[in-house]
Amino acid sequence: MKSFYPFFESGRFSSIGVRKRVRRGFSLVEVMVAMAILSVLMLIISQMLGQMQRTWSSSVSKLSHFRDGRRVFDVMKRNLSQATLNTYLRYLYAGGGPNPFSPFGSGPNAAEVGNTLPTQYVRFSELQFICGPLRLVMPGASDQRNPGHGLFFYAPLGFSSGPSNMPSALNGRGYFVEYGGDGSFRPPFVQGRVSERFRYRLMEYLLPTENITVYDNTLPFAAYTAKFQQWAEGNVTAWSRPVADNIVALYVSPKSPVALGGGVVGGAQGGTSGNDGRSGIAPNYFFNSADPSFLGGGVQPAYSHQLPPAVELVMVVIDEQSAVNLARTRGDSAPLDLGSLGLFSQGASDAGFRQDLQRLQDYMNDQKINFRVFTSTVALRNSRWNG
Amino acid sequence: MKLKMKRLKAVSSKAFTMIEMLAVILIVAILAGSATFYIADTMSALRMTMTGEQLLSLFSSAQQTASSEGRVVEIRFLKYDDPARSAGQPMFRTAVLLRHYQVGESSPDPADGGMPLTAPMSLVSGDRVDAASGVVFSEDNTLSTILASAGASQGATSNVKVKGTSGRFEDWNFPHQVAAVVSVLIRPDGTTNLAPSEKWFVTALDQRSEESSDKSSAKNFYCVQIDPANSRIVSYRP
Repeated sequence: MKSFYPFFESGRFSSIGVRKRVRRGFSLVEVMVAMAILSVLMLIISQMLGQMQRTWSSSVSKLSHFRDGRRVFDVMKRNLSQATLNTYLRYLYAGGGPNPFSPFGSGPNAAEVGNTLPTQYVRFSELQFICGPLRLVMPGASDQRNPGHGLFFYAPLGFSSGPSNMPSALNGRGYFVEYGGDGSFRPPFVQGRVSERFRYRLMEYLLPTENITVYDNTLPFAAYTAKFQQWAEGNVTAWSRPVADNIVALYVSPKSPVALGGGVVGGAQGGTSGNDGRSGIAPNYFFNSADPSFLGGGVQPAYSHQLPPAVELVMVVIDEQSAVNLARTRGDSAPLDLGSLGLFSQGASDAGFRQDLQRLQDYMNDQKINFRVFTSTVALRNSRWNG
Repeated sequence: MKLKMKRLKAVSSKAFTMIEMLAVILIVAILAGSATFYIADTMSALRMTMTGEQLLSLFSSAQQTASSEGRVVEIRFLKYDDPARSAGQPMFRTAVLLRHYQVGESSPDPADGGMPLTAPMSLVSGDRVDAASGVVFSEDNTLSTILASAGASQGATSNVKVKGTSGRFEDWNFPHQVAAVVSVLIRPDGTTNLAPSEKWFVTALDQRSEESSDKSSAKNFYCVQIDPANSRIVSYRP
């Protein structure tokens, strides 16, 4: 029977066909070309994947760290708004005794000294609200490691080292930025296995209720005045812990929502006549409610033992990738030099504040760092400003 | 015909012979064999990273929920015996997020019609971490201070509900026999139920290292640390 496709049967055709198929392997050149094309493709794909991975992780790190910064900023605002001084009025004596609050001399059975009649009423509080450049505010601050401002106050936040159920117990609370390694905060077993992270961190100062020392009345008055030049509780490092990484600066500007006509009279914080909400309260961004300088005589300045009506906070956050790069280049010494810019250190006014804020942003832009600036004005609920 | 045969021979000798093919296959097999060793290592490292990152995000979602909803949020670590993974040896493998509702708060259960709760309740919302296979949360004192205090189920509530498929609230039942529970509570202000003077952390470890006597020298781990006073969360990975 003849096949439908006769040429398949034909010996000549089929033998040629088979022969052709057998003969046809890949030549070395062909294989090499194929391999070359394949490897080029693989290279391109792997590079694209790597790029995608980098973009992904950088956007995640940006997101998560700015989120961290936002959370901390909210916590800081909430705590600050509860700041309290609990100011009261008391007599001031000018009899020349060792303590202007008492008509008596020093010692347990001391007699009255000089004029025993009080000369004036003054506002007073054992508590303190202090903010400004860290070297003025915080005992033991370093210009290099602690850029920007610090803020310390008392607030009923209910924090105690022991187990407690006192939600409104008084605490000392503070915020400042510090650059350093994480060796003392990390779990001990990690040491030596994960390299130390040098970062700018926002530190939170949490003074437990039971460790407040300002009500200690055994302190001689001379020591009192020395102590209250800065944050009076001292020993800031012992009670501080990091609350967020990659926060490179914090600035604090006490202000009033309305322009202050009278303004501040004399005193260590300077200023003669306030003309807007900032210069009238803290012309050099330094505010110390417990500044003892007026006790030697003179009129009590407006800032003395009062809370500012409001405080504007400026916080600069960078992303983790930038922080890693900064730490790589500088290691344990602070990589940014915000201190030398002299930002927010004098001439506080609405215009000056805006100008410094702009300079801050320009500086950060120049560093080619991914950053964000948070600003917010916090009204202090307990302020009864009377300036 | 002779000429043709010659040409054929010459061409066919240019194709791979059986021996060559075998040699190539052998080499490929050796390479693949040695690669699986590394791949297995990489895979276990990957599983560790995955578990650790899930735990990290569970902590940060707990922290966020606490501050945004203004309620206490609990992370409950469960120690149980999973016959599929290691028979007869309970280990910490799961962490669950629970929202706490206080007495007097309006009930989250739609069936209650917003009536105030008469007993504290906690609600499982589905946020949870199950350690990947071969990974556990260590309860060694140097690696996981949080879990080392196992048994002292601090602050764990008993009235745990979960939203059922029908939308009704049902009692939450964990499918395994739970041997121990450890609870970390995060409050809206960022404080926790952990003693503020200590350091608190959980470490994910591979099961073999956890079973061995020398746990703290494990090469591969993922450690998540939480600050007891302000609930700052940090992770450490070698």
